[in-house]
Amino acid sequence: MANINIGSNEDLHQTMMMMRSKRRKGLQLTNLPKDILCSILSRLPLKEAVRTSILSERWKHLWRCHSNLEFSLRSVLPGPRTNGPNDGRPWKDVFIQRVDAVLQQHCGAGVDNIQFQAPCDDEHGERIEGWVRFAVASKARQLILDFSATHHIQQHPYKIDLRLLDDSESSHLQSIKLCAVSLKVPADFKGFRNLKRVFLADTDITDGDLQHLVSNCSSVLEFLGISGCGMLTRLRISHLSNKLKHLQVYDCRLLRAMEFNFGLVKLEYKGPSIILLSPPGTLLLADVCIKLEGISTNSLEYMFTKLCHNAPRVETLTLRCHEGKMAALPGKLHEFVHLKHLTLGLTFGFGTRTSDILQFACLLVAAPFLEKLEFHMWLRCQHEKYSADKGRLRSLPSQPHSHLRAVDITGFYGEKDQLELALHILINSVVLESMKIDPEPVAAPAGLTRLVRPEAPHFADGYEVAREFLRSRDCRDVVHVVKPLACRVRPLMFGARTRIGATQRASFFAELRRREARNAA
Amino acid sequence: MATREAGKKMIMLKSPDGMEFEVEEAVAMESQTIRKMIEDDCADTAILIPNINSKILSRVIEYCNKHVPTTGATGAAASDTVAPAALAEDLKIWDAEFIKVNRATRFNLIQAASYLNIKGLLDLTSQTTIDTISDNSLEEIRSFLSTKNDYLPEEEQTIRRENQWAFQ
Repeated sequence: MANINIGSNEDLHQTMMMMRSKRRKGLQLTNLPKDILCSILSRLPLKEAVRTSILSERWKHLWRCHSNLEFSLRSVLPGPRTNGPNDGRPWKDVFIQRVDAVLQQHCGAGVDNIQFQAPCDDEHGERIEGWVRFAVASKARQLILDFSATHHIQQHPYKIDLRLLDDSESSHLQSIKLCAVSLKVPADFKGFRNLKRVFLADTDITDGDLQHLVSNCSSVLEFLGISGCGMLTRLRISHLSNKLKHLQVYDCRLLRAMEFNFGLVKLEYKGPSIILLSPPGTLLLADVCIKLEGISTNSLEYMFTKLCHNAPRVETLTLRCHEGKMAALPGKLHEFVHLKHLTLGLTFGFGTRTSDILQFACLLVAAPFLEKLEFHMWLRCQHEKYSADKGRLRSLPSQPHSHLRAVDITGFYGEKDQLELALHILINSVVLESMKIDPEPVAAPAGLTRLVRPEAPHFADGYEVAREFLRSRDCRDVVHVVKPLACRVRPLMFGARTRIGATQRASFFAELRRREARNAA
Repeated sequence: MATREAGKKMIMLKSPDGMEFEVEEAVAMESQTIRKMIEDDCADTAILIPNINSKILSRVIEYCNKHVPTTGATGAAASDTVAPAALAEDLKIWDAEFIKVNRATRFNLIQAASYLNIKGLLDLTSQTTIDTISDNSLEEIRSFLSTKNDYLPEEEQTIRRENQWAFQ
């Protein structure tokens, strides 16, 4: 019995030397068992895997057990798609034909993931039905039918019959994503037994059908995502046996109210206006992300009057909206005692601004255990840089906050109330470790930062004000002011006549791209 | 032969060429196959690992030793001092060094990882093979896999025609 000291270098070295001398005589990949080869092939994109059939007789059929079948226009029909490849057939027909050919050759078992991404519609209903049947028969765990088109709305979307998926065989299905299909839930729909994730985008599902669908797979369903389903007006997922943890609702234009079971942990909502979370009972919600578009909102009022009642246990809150006219807040504010991370993305309207940013100081009182605050502003209104002759800075009564460690403020143009708020936070947060001030706004929609040229001088103003009035009060050395691009490459930003070398221009645009990438991330 | 040493349960692994390796239970349980044996109480005496010679087995154990999650009294202290991101980066560098072996060893490791069901090791060892297949010409892949083209020209034509799109 010889015990070996594991990892002994000498032993390893010996092994390596022996292996090297026996080069090409040892084990070859081709000699490995078939299931291992199949598992390796399944890591390749389908197209690459199909190509291995040409290697040798041994490899001819190996790809047919590929477990990750992803059919997309890009993978199946590379190149320009104005028409069929050579013979003038419509490219949709070519796509369908190729998919069918692959499915026919496939061994039809052991599929993990099967997805179809192409703008197919009801015209090809029978073929698509065949794909769905294949997915069920091959015991696929994930099915994706994404028929959305880039440039138009499907006029005759594929009408999926959910009964295809609900018989006993489909009990392997754990995740489905259906995009740009027509979805009616038949009365005799039996439900899904193992379905954990459902994502529906651009479907015509109605309130009743969605409720029927969810209540029929509620025993295991953990994630529900709905996007662009324009028929929905009221979302009810308050079934008692509900296991739903994570809900995503994006851009459902007619949706007015949502009713959840109390077990929901994470909610992401994006839509035109404020949504009522009803009934006003307490929810376990810990992570809430709300993005409102279009209509002006009073973010503070919304947080304290609507959200606080329904989601008192929220720990992470992201709120993005167009800040309208501020109303006076009720004297005594409710407290978010669990809130640890707050992100506010606020756009302040055109013209003259009526809202007072210093009002947001009340957040320090209302969220006593806040650890991280991100405050992203985008001021699209008259700008006035603060200077000593613009009057005394207001200061609020002292409100020591003993948890706030990190503050990130962007869109700091050096307005008086912006400075007052930053100072208030800096002075009152006794354990503050870092305060980052960036004059450039990240609250602007992605890609728009490039267009805010007229605002470029504001960045320089913000930079100067933060340096002059904030850094001077920073005795713990926690404030970091980001130098805006406009301060560094001023001539280019303002179109001065100075000639700018190609290298300087290149480095400017490289920096711009980096920033955009960072903002997008 | 499972023994106790300094409070940690040890497991004996035996390779077909007669070598025995004593490893911590937690390390051995990186392999789902061995975990199942232990959970089913089939691990009282030494576990024989068929088809994997001592050289490969020692490397597999080396991998598991490195990748075993640091838990327990000493482990918790370790993870407190090292940031998880730095730890992951460190593992990545170690992995890259670990996989610098010749082809036959790598294929043996693939086989071992697959039999012992160690997902991380299977991912790591398969990746090079996948990269080679997706980046190279058919002839290069054949030479990498030491495979000879045993098709008749007309057979090859048929196969190409069957899935023409993949060869475009």
